[in-house]
Amino acid sequence: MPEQSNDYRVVVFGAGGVGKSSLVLRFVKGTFRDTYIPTVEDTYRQVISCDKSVCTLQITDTTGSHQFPAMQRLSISKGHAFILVYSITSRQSLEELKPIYQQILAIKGSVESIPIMLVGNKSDETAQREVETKVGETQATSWKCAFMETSAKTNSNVKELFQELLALEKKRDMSLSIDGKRSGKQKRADKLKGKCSVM
Amino acid sequence: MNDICMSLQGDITWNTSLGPSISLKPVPLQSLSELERVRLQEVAFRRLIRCHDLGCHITIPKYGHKHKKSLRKKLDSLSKEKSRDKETSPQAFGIPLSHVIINDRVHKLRHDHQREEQSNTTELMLSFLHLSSGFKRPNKELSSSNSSLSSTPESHNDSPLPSTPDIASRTSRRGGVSVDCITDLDDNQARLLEALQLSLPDEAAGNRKKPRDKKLSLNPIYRQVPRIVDLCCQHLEKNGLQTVGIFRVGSSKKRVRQLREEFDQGWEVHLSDEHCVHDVAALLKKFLRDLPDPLLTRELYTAFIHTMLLDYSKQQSAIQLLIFLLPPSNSDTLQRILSLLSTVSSHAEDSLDTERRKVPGNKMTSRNLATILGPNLLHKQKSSDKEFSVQSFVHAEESSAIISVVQRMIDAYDMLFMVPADLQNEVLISLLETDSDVVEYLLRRRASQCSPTPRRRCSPSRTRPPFRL
Repeated sequence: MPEQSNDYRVVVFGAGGVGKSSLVLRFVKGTFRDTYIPTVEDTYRQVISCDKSVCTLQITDTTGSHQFPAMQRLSISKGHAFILVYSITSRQSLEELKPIYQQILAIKGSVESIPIMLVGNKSDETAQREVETKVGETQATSWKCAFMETSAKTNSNVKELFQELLALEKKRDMSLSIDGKRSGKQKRADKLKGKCSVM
Repeated sequence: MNDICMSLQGDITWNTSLGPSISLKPVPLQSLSELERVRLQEVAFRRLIRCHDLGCHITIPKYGHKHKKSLRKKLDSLSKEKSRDKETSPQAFGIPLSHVIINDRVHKLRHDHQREEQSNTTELMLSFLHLSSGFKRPNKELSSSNSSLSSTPESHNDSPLPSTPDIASRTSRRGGVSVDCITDLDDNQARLLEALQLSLPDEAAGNRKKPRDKKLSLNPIYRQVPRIVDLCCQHLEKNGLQTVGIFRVGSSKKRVRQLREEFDQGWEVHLSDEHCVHDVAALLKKFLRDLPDPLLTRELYTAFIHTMLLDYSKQQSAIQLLIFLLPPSNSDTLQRILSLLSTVSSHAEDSLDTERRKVPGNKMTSRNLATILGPNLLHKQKSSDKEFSVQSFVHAEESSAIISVVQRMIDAYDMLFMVPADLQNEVLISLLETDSDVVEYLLRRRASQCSPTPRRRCSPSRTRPPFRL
């Protein structure tokens, strides 16, 4: 299990080209680049509020292309929460999340207490859609995790994604804004409803 | 006597007293004879030490030794329980590159066996011995020992086949050096493997310190690229150049595993248009990743990384010299892969076809390709997962250097596998010291490669280097 540290580590997984970096960059920097650059691995840090204090939200953007299983295992064992991204324009990209989910399950033992968010990105590309929202939802239900469709390009649901993910963490009371406008209690209420499916 | 520094642009001319003088021009690495390639390795090694301060220890990657041992084991197990062992051990993935190539040859022979029934084992063995001792009678074995395993076209137009004066003798040459001719296999597999081993250059590399180069051939080595690599590259060149994110976009794990198993069972695998390009790209990456020793070798890992610390102007030549240190199978396979990557990257941008219609680019620039393939080609981890794990993060900072090196290789692909004149010159001088009788022959062949008219024969002893020794 992760060592005791104030950092809260979120790891973003997904196949190559589904928009992991775009999501993270949209969230961290608020920008979107229309370039095509594969990621090796990047980590971003941001201060968030946590249990009436602050902590560092550490977001690890992984590579989708060359999977060295050992690197993936290391990321999983270090991570507290996971974002599994596919592209709604690629059925295959959802398929590729399955072994990653299995790996998380194997390493963490159980996913009950682990915040996991299944994310269908590129929701703006409706003409190319290959994965219906229902399919994503069904997958999320069987994985007992939350689900969302996002678009990093149009900035749809990006901030919400991270908010909901933090809200899923039961061991800590976290919120993106340091001034504590959004209270943890409100988010716990969301949580109790079951999954945080938006849309 | 080798400390004379030639200018890279300078014309280097060798005089053969009866023939015309021969001015050395850059030639493809694969057109060099086995003997020259081994010498080139030594010359490149000395040049690296002398001219580039890479700040690390450089060794010529060991190749012969460790493989000889395991090959011996393999032979033993083959002779003990021929068929069973053959079925269970993988034929392509996770085994040394040289073994993959041997397996390819064995499968090709078996395949040929089905076509041609006529065979003579003794003759077969003899022909291999001929090959390995070709050095002793260069005049009889002048023609080529080339045989491309999958008979694929070369990536460059210069065929390594020397257009030697005695083409006539090639037809009469019996079985000779080409493995294509060998048919019989089944009851003599162990011996055949042994014979094959004799003809492989790694054997020669192992013998480097013994009676010098005695077994090395004066002919170019057959191109040592595993069939699986060739097939994947051809498939991607045919079907994948316009695919956005080729090598980046994911693949079906299941289909890739199936393909892998087929290759591992040594089946006659064919890739057709039905195979998804992303699966094929993933298969190629997997093959590279699974090599027990990475393609650019563990020994040279640090040296390759350190080339990026040199002045920009010196980086390319240092990378080239390091490539010349690689065993032939590694260098040939690297060349094949870089050729593909260079082609892919040239299709990265959108372009217009002949009818001025827009052709979408694949968006995979050399930088992008290097990001994805770099860690597959250049790393120093052992293939077993355990040792792999934590180290990979320690070396994460090196990953940008890995990407830059591989990017340079893709961008400079055209030049990297051309041996500059000054290095050829050093190779010839080095040969003049030990094997002066062959220099004349090598020069003449070079001349015949350059011009269609065959040169007149002249006495080897009268060959003169461009300057006094």
